[in-house]
Amino acid sequence: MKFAALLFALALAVNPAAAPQAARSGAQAAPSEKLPPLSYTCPMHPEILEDKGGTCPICKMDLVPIRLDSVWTCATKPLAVVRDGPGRCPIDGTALVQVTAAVSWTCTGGTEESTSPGTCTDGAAKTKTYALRAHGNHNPQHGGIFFMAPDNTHHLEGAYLSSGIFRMYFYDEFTKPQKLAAVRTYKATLNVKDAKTGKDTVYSLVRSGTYMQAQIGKQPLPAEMYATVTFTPGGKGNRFDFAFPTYSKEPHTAAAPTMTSAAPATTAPLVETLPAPATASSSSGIDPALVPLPIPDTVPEMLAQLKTRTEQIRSFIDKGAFAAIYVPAFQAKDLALALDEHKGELTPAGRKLAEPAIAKLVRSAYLLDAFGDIGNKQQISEAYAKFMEAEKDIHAAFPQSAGRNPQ
Amino acid sequence: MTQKLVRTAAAVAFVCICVAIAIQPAGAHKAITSKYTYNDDVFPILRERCASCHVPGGVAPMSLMTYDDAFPWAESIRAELVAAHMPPWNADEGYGEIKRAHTLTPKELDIILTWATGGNPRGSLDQKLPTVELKNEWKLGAPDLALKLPADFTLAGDKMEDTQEFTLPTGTTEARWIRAVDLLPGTPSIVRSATIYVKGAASGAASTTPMPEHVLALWLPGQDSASNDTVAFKLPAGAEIGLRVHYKKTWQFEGKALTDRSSVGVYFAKAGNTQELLSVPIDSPAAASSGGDQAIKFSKTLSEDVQALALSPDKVPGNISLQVEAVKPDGSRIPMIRLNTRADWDRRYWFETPMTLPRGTRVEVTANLQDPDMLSAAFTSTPGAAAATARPSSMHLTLNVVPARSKPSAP
Repeated sequence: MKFAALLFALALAVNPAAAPQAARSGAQAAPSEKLPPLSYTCPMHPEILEDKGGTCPICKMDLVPIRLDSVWTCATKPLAVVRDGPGRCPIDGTALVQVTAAVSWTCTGGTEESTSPGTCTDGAAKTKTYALRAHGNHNPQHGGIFFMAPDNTHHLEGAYLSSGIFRMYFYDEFTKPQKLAAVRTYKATLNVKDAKTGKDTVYSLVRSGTYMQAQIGKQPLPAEMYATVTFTPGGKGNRFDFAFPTYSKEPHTAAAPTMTSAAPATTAPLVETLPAPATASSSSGIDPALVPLPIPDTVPEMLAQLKTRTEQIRSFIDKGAFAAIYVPAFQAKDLALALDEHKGELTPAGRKLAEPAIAKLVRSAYLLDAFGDIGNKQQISEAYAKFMEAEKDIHAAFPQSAGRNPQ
Repeated sequence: MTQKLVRTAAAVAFVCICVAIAIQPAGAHKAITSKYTYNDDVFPILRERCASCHVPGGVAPMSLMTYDDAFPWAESIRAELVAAHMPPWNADEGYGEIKRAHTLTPKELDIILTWATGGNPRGSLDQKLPTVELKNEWKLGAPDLALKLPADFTLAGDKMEDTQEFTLPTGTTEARWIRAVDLLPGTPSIVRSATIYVKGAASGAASTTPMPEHVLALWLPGQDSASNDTVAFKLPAGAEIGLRVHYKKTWQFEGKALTDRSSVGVYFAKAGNTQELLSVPIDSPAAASSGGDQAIKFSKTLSEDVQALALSPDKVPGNISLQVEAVKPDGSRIPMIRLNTRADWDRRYWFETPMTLPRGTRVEVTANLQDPDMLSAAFTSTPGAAAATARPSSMHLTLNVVPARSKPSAP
């Protein structure tokens, strides 16, 4: 896999020094500009996304081309400013967040959207514009923790303020705040765990405008709590687990708008140094669990990396960083699949243990991914228990000596 | 499903995001396009692994044999695969030595999951895929004796399912050994499961010594019919075969009356070195404790030296986690099977190799009544799954054995 090299090249490409670009650049369409790839979607059903043209499987309308891009923008003013890489919002100085957006090119006064840059009839270059996509933005808007409900429609954010107030904000799939009429129909309770006794205190969340809140006092940090939210009258309660390492701060009160140089160049050495994970995080402040790595060549290295990834998932669960779990989980899955290709080197007994264990790890990685988005800690922990069983069996199936070959 | 569509941008975007993630953790959703397409990658697996049921006219509620058939079910496919509900194989693979049914390889699993969660791309529109048709045929070849149901059975329009008992005379004039039986559904789309047994045989329930096994097969659609060359079932002269069929309609046939006339195929063993398959019942206490504990333990001590060949949890309610171990007289424990029971998926699990169990071995069953199915709790739509599993009044498993052929000789 030449992933490392690619990663390195791209890391350079998003060097912050070069990154900032106007949101609506009167795109000079430099021949070198890389366009995001074309996908096809239905005008009526945006959830339909194909890599080829055709008709919508739901309504049979012709699919239309669209380009999706992953861009950085202000958390509170999505797409008001668009950047290629991380940085600070020029409007409020907060850190930029990453969203998925549709890109198109238009002419002034025209309604026609084009999927490629070019020149308008008046000779001016077409303007590059961005539009929000459903689920394109799962970033908290108030410095809290963001989750999607199992119905894939409702989204919410829990924030624990330094005043001892827990506040819950509600969004739709475009991360637009839910309307008051909708929030009125929601019911929510909050169980706050006492760090000393382990006992829960249950609070009813009371609506105030379009958010709900409860005064839960100052709990020792990190504070663990879970909300049970019903979105439809008489419906099933959905559980969302929160672990707040610190009090939540509204983005505009965050650090001064200076550009921290999270120099991407330092990611390249990371690739080289892992799987010695301890060395990775220190200088750059990047959690090594979030750094994708190439699959190593030898079985012992794969096993070592698999072990590291498994521990990283555990640490994300402990920290309550559920939404990030999928990164190490999918990396572990790819490692397991790479190990699957080496099972021919095993004894028949080892092979019989390895294959089902690898299949189980693949399944539980996807479970962790799905549950991580939803944010129910119990489900995540159960999926992780399965994941660990599988990982243990994989280690048992591959003796550490197997495949130890000099480069 | 929509949540996954976010992941559907493209390879370049994906790589960019990897870099981005390396710099700063962002939102939960990354954009990935599945590199696997239905036409090139998913269809061949589905055709190979799922076509005995998920095919037009098959017993499954939906065909998966064309893109248009499969695409709307992508989210269900994901949910069924991660829960290990499909392909239907309920035994825990890492425990005991069970002859495996064909399940998906890790790579196949990953291909389908990647496709199902990564935007479900179709592949080239010009590509013509072969039409897959239902294969309804004897899997073991033409049987020695094909016994057709005496008459048509009609599953009425207002019924979604029904269980029906049939008696099939064999007309044999001498006792014979049966090595296998199979069922050929008349109308495959409604024949959901069946039990095929020798009628009139004494039940071994009260016995402490192994009795002849009279359940010839627990039949499921799409399973590999087991044919064992070394063991057989005894069919007395003139005996009748009992057939209990669970008929079930899928939503497509709601309100429609459907008629079935299935056949049972009997395969006789060649005379010679066959051993009769015996059964040892393992029953839970009649009134399982009504206390709050979630686990029930019960066991059966073997009264003679045997070789254990198979195990079937044949009267155990669904959604229970079962673990069976053999505890030998010397105290050593041998894992036999661990599985999550699911209603309507009962089968006989054959061990990879016969397990030699001396007299005095205790076969220990631990039934965990807690619903093992966290998935149904998570994805809400399964009715009843959230409700507590009804505490079963009793459970019954059958261990299939043959007498130990040779006594262990002293070293």
